[in-house]
Amino acid sequence: MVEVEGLHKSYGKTPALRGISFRVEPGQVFGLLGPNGAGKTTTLRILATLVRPDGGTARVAGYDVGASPLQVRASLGIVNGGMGLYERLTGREILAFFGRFYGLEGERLQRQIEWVDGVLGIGAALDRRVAEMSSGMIQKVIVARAILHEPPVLLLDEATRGLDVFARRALLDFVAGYRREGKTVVYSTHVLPEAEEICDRVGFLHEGRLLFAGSLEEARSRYGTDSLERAFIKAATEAA
Amino acid sequence: MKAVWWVALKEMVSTWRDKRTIRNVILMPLLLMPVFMYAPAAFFGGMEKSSREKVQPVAVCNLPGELLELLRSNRLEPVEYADARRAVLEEKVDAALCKSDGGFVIYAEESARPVKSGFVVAKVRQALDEYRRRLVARRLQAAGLDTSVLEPFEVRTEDLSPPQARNAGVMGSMTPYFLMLFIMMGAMAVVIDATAGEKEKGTLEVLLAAPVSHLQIAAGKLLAGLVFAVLTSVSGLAGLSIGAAYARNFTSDSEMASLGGSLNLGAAGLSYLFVTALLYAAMITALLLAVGMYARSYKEAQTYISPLYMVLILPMLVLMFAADYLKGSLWLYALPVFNVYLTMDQLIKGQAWPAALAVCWLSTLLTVGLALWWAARNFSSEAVIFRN
Repeated sequence: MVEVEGLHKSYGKTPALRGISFRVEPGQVFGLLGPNGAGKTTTLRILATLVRPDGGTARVAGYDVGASPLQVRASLGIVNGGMGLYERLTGREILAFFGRFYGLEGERLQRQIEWVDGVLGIGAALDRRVAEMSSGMIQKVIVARAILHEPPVLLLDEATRGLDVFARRALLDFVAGYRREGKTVVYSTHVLPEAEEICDRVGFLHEGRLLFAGSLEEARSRYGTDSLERAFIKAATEAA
Repeated sequence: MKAVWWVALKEMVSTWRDKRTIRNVILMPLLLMPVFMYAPAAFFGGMEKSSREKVQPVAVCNLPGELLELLRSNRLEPVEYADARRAVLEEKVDAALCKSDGGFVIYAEESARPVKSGFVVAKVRQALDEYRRRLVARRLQAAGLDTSVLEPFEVRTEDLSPPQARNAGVMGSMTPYFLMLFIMMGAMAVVIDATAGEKEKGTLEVLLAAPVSHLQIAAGKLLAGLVFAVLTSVSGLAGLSIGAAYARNFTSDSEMASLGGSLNLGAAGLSYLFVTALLYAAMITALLLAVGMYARSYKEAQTYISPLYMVLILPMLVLMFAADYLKGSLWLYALPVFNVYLTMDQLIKGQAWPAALAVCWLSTLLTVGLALWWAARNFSSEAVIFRN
């Protein structure tokens, strides 16, 4: 579960978040939608304990991000579009490196690596160095690293950026499956059709304000349109 | 502590697999140090030897026969020139000697051709000294005096320095400088990639979001940097020792042998030197970590780190000229960086004293702690992590 209440954050004099609140239950995919600079990445970085909020609270899997950062991090898996991998290590070495931080060692670690291999189909690339992998395979290893410890909460920030059609489809299918397992997913994107496909609930984030938070049906009926994109534009226009 | 080791292991494996880095920081110092250190001296020594043995022409004018003989006995071939000065300027000879107004003038392009003309001028001066000595002896004899009146007493200097200081040679005096260089090279190979490199490749964010303290991450990276700093230092010092051994044992030239020098420290001295160098390496690595973390890219990190070289070299320049005056002040052993060079210098010369050693180690350890704290703080600072 993710609970965000009155979150504020400024960079110098520039406000990035102006008191946003939302809640994501287990088994839900929450789409945090907005254009570049809306505050999506800042929100996810606060949830990942990488950025401290100026005001408000955020809890991940029941842990406060300020008071219990290590527990929060242990409950999270993170994927973002700009992420890379250690190019001189193999996929298996990268998974082992991160897995150990989550208490996975020995046979348990091997079992989890086999599990993510089965889920994502990494195959022979597991034993190949990253420098020798295709971009699609790299993205699979990035996702594998995020879910290796089966975190209750998964944060995805523009995760399909730069992916080819196959890798993008595999990722979206994986998110849908992960939700079915009762996990909580926060999916940040500015590609609204993508959010329409996989999100149960969405939040419209614009210039640091959460203009709307609710189900897709609620968004469509509130803004009188079938298109999530049009609904977002209407919400942003009304707010201005 | 396990997390520290895992981070260190990841950095070490990653660096070890980078063939360019290994070639530059492990193999190059081993292979190139003997060449850098002793090849120019060997080359110069060889030239000097061949010049000493070779009969070289020297332009002369109006010289007495006895002096001409002395020039010949100093392996010079006097060649009479009407204008000896011009002969030098036209590079027909490297030096000229002429009688002038009751004295002698040596012509040579000493500034323009210092090495080549220097060898000939030295031989000419030897011949003149001998000629002067003979003239004085003859005049004293004519006056009924013995030549010993000119030397009423003998002066002898006895070097009371410890044997370590006497034998140190270039190897000893340059060791602190090269250690600094090797430590920087080795630590940089790991640290820049582990900080600014991680930022640039987009791997840092997920590492910092793992359930491990940022101090442990910084400590792991420090450990990896330290290991490579030690490896590079061992490789570089091995290269330096190979060159020194060659200079000592395989050259007949005594100047080359003393240039080689040796580190006769004994087990205790070597272990003190190792601890001092290790603490220094930890301090440098922690500083590099803090600075590297601040940079946004690999290139920017290199730009920030370059001035650090200057800062590290400055105390060494001061010590080159003033170590003798400064070694007795205990408080100087508390000054970071400076204290390490001073202590190494004293250890190599066999003159280190326990209180100075203790102050140096404690001060360096404290600086390591502060630098590591700064690095860990940078790993947790959003302004540093997401600086753009």
